[in-house]
Amino acid sequence: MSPVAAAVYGRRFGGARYKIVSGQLMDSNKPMFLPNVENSPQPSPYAEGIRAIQASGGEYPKIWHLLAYRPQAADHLAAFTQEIMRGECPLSPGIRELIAAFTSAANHCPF
Amino acid sequence: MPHIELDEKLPGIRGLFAFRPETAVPMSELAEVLLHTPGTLSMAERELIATYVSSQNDCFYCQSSHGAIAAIHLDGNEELVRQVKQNFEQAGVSDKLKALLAIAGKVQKSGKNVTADDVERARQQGATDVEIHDTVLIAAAFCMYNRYVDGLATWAPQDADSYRRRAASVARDGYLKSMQTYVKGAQVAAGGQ
Repeated sequence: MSPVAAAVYGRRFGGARYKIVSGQLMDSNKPMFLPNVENSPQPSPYAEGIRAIQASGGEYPKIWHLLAYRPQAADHLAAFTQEIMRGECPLSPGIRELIAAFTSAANHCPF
Repeated sequence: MPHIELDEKLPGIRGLFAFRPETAVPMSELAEVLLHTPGTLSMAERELIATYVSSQNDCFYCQSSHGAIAAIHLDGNEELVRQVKQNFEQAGVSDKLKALLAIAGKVQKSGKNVTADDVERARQQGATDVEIHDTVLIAAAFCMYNRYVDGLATWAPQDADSYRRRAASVARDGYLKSMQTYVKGAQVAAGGQ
């Protein structure tokens, strides 16, 4: 997360509800509603990513499990995100990320 | 009147898709995967979830177009679509679909409203993890489509017949092919489905 986006989050939440851990806002790490989603990644780059980071002992966002569970849907979501966030547009990528961060903060979605 | 200049012949999301083909393609592909590919939930059930969420979001274009598509998958049973929108707990649908609609309704308000009890109720009625997953993703995606359509103040036809006519071809050909009939320059990657 960029320092600017972190500042937006911080202002929104007054820094009280979410603590910032090494520049990232962490929510409580609750188990997912659907254990099978977590335990049955389909062959995909998303599953590779999970394996790699688990092997290195690193933390990762649980949305990766959602992406790995339904790669057909995830591929289109990724293509959409790529186009709307990085495609040709007069708004700079930084401004677009700021809009996304602001909306996510309004939706109380710290990740 | 729309907030931005769109092709005035194209209502709802169609004018937006034509305005921005680059985002129209992945958005249509997502709709295709969620609503128009073989799965354990029937296309009628998935369209009912999309219709219900759109009606909760008060998106006239989306609830009318997907309601009409749902009715086609239901052999023309528009009354059932109306029941689901009005009070799905009393509608003539399976207990499993009722539990999934309850989850979709929670997601429409906030993803955080979904509880472990909601998920357990769906499981008790025989819903699989893929079905629960897809229900949440359909509900979340339709909140996006609904806000996209209304956030730019697109226009929506008022006569039910125009939705019925278009629904017939979408129900048959799917979302990607339908979108390509009116969006110029909609490039679909080779091997795309």
